[in-house]
Amino acid sequence: MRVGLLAACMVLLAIPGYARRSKDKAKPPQSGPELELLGGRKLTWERSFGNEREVKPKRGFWNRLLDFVAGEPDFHELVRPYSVASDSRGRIIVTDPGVAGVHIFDFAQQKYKFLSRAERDKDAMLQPQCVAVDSDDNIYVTDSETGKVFVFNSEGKYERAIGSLKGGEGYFKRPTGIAVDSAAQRIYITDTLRNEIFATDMQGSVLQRIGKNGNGPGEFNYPTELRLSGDNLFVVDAMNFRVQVLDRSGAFRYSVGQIGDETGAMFRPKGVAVDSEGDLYVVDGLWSVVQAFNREGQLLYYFGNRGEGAGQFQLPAGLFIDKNDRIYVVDSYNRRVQVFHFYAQPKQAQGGMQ
Amino acid sequence: MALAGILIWLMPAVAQIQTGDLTMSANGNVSAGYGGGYGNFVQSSHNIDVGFDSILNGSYYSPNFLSFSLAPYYNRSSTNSSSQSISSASGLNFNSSIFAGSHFPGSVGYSENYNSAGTFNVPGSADLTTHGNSHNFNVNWSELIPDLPSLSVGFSKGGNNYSVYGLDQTGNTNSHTFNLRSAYRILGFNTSGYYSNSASDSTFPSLVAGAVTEDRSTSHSSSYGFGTGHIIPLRGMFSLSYNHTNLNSDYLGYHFNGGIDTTYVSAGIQPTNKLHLQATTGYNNNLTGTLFENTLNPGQATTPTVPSITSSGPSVVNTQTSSHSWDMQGGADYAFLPNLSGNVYAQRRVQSYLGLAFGANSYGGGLTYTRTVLGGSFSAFGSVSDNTRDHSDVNSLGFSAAAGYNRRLGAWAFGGNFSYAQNVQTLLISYTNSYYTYSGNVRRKFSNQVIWSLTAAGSRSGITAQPHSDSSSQSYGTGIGYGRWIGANASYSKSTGNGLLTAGGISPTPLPPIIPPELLILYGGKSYSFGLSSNPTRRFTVAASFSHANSNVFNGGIGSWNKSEQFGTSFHYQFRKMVFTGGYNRLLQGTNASPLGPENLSSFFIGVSRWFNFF
Repeated sequence: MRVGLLAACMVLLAIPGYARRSKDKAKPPQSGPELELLGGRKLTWERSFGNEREVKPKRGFWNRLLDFVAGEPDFHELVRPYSVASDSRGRIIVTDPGVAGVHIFDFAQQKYKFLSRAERDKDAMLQPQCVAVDSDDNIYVTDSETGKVFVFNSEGKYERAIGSLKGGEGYFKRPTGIAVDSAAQRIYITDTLRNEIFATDMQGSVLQRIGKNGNGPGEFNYPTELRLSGDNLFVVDAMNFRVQVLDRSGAFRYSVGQIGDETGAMFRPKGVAVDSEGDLYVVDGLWSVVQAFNREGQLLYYFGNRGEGAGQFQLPAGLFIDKNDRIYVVDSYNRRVQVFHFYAQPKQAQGGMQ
Repeated sequence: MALAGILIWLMPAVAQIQTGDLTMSANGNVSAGYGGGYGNFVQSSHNIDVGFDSILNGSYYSPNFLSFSLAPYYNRSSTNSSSQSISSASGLNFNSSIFAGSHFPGSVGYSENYNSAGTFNVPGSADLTTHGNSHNFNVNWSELIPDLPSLSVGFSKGGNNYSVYGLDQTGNTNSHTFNLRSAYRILGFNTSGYYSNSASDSTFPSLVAGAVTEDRSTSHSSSYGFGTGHIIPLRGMFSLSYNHTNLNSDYLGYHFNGGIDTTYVSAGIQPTNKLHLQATTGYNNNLTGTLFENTLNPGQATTPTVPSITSSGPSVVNTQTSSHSWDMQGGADYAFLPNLSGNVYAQRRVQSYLGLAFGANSYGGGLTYTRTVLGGSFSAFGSVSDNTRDHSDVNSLGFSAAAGYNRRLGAWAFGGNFSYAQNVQTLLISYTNSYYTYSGNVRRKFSNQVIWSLTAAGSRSGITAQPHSDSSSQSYGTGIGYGRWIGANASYSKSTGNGLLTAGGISPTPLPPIIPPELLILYGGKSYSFGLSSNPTRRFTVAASFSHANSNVFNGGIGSWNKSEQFGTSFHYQFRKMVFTGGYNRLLQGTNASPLGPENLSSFFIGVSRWFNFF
């Protein structure tokens, strides 16, 4: 009987010999959408990534031999990514509450690093939410569960925890969004449950509290993500279904968006970012789109829809636009980050228009 | 064998495969190493061991149309894998479903296991270890068309045979069950009906040498029934059910052959949000048969269940005597406050068994209260009942109470529950139960890394005013962990009581006065265990455990003692998809019911396993 059992298993294991591989067939198309926009502008899909393996696609002979004998290592992969940022070296930093850590993808240097403090006795990082980077490439991560902000240096070494009280508990109720003003040495932190934005110095001393609960100008109903751009502080006012624009002192300037299920409305605003032309990009988690608005709140264009293919999203969350107008969208349920490239209006055309 | 392992090793890892509409994926572990075994009852051996466990998942057209999984394993034990078997086990498990999510879902399952370790239950002590073979086949299908009567059909057939280490006897069980069920809603009536047919045949080892003349239990039962319910005014519900069972059973020479009819009617209304009124009545035309089914028919299940203290009653020797029971009860529940409610009831019970007629009137009530006390959650329940037997001026007062409290205090978390009952009614009018139970737990978090816990539980129960009918048990456990560095635990338990021998071991029973004394086994046992484990690095695990159990059983003037001692240690170091594994197991087990003396069995393994994603 045992011999028969073994033989049956060998037959099963030999099936791949004649069966057709379906992995390639199941793989979604790797060319994404391309949008031709007004004034010669263009938006193209570049790539997506979600695995440490993709940082170093080519493996040497000895590594491949070792892979053959002992199997591939357990590469880190995105599990429930939420927020994304990029530093001056082009490294892409992604928070991942699903594994209580932060992924750092360095495609240029073909390096990868995973930051985790989940098992630390003191100041453990349990639910990393949003991430921001200062001018020295220090990394700031909000933790919605512990109520603290964790600071790592540019090499990923833990520096300090902002908001860590003596008893070990966190000062913030639910910190989510974060933005760092390196020039003014200020950190802006959203406390979603308090409906406030805290402005602190770099050590975490509170300098100013901005906003209160409500739906008027400068009032918030569960504020989440933040983005600093120029003199503006963009605040995702999630349950007022809008993005409010404040100045750096917290004074209200204007707001964009209203609730609705039509194009241009917001239903579950998540990540927010600004491109080189000053236009505002907002992710809508429910409709799986990224919408671009001008300063008057008019919808310029949008991209994405629900799905697993290139340029499609399922529960998109974080958004970041780097200095080269590369748009990083965290495609949370698909466990990946998708990269788009926005080509701004050519200078010649800009001159012509002026 | 070794060649097979190498072939699997060399097989390139490929993706899920698809052939036409057939999609499959498979993965598993293959291990190879040096292992052996020795003992006083087995011949010493050592050789190169190859083993594997794998799983093949697949579907045809769509997982909702046909899906299946096949999981074969070969030569797996606790020394070379995560298996808990001390013997090298092989076998396969197969499951499939068809038309899942449709109106006609079905499933088929099959399992076959060879030389797999199991347990033979001895209450209050670590179970005796067994090894043997088992197989099981089951098939189920349903028709679930909306607005038409539903139909579900199921059939299962299985069996096992085993030996208890250190005991020169074997046991086996063969059983099959057929079920047919239907439900339909017509004119506002929710109706249902069923038919069931099952049979089992068990032979089991006698822990007490010479204590019983026959160690076999057979049972064949067929039953059918129907029920219906309808909404009535004042947010009420009326329901009626009827069941008939034909039981032909033999437990160690004690026979029962007869039919049991039970009818149950109930109606309840809720005139206000706080008040609920209910009336029920039930008739059973063969109370003796129900008692036999509940107590002396344990061969029906391979793994026996412990009869509930409050729902079971004493059994009788003469099972052929005519008997019946008729119960009527009316009651009301009222919510005085959101956290305070009470109930009252009145009950009339009429029974006839052993040629005698019994009757009793009962009145009672109770209160349930919950609230926050000192930052913790507190709950309490108390009830009293007044029971008057016919032709008797003597009232017996019964009461029961229960209380529980849980709270967290800083780094501490603790909780406890206690219940006590005296003279609560059993299935038979002439017997009442008394019992108490307690449990408590404490947990202290010294830091994120260091956590300590302690648990304790105990119980004692018996038939009121019946000496030597008590059963009691106590158990204590503690554990402490320091992050991944070290985890340690220890436990101690003991128990005494009365039980019946079944195919799964000794099943405790709270019914000693009526069961024929030659069937009853008095048991007592103590056991303790220790465990230690550590993950000094994320990929390295080392663990050791030790357990010791002593038990004694007494039946028919003959007693015997049993001893079981087990030690095991293992390490695992993972490098990529490979795990370097080593392990050692030692079992010492015996009983003086066996003339051969205790069995000493040891096994060891050192080798490597590799996980493959085959396709």
